[in-house]
Amino acid sequence: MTVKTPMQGARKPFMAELQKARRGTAPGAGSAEPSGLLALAAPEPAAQLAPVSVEVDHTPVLRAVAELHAKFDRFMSHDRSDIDQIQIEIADISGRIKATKAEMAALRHPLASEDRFQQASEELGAVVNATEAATNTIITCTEEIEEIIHELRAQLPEGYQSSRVNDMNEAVVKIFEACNFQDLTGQRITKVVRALSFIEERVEAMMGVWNKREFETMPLPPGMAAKDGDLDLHGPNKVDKDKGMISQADIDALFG
Amino acid sequence: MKILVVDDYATMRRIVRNLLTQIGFSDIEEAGDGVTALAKLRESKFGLVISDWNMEPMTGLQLLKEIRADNKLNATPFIMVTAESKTENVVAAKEAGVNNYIVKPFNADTLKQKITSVIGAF
Repeated sequence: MTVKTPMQGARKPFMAELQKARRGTAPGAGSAEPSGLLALAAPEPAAQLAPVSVEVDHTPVLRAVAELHAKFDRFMSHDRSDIDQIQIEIADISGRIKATKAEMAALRHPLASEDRFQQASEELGAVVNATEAATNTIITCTEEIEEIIHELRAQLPEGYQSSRVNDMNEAVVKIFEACNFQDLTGQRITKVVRALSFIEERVEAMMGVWNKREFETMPLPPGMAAKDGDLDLHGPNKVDKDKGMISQADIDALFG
Repeated sequence: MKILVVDDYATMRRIVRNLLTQIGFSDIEEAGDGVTALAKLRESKFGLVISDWNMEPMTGLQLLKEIRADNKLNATPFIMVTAESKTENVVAAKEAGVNNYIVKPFNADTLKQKITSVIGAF
């Protein structure tokens, strides 16, 4: 079952063509045989069918293709520049992310031997302990001076010397007052240690957002120690033999 | 008159004790936290409590509230000596019944002045 057209030769009929053919058949015509395309749709032997010519309008299809072509041209010229700009911006963001990761790695590198946050907290803790010990020594000495003042007061008659002893006692009071600083600096340093701990947690959390192992591939940050030629200068430190620190007694032993 | 000095920081207790001695008090006891202080207050009579605020497990403010809620202790004069100087802290202490409030650092004169304003001349 085929349809002959001027351009395409023999082909199968479209449903629209079959319907058109059906509409063309007069109802109740009494014809014993279907005619035209209806005849083509009917299950009858091919030998009984007459060839039909159908004109097809391709204009809408060609118009749609032309529109698509125009859109593609516009995309290739105008929209392409926008895409280039977006690519530049993505590359910029990617660079910034890499730089941020490098900074985070410098703060807390997974392979670094020094934990800067812990080190800073320990240093501050050492400051509190050292000043506390010094303050207690100052107070103990001042208490001893106070006792001596009381003894002298009891022994000395009124006069210049007694008056100077009273001056000494006023100085003693001022020393006690000044020792207030220890409590306040201790509290302030504790606040700084808490702030450090907070920052450390945030850095840890940020690194957790990324793949933590990525940071291992980043360059290690430089050490914090000051340098004297090839030697590191660490400043005050606790005696920790594991970290290579030795006591005064060990140093004395070295000097025999 | 017996004075109870409450501070979790031993050095500070020592400083306050010495300053109290200098201004004329000799009967001074110490407590390292609010719980110990409360136990001492229930054991014997104190004429004045000088307490820090920031302590554990019981803060100075909690100690003050416990004292004010206790029928036998509620008349005990209480001076807060603390680094907390925000208005809301001072107001909270006042509302809880503190008799006076000293911000650290302080000197012997301030301490003497506040004690006088609370317990009268000594």
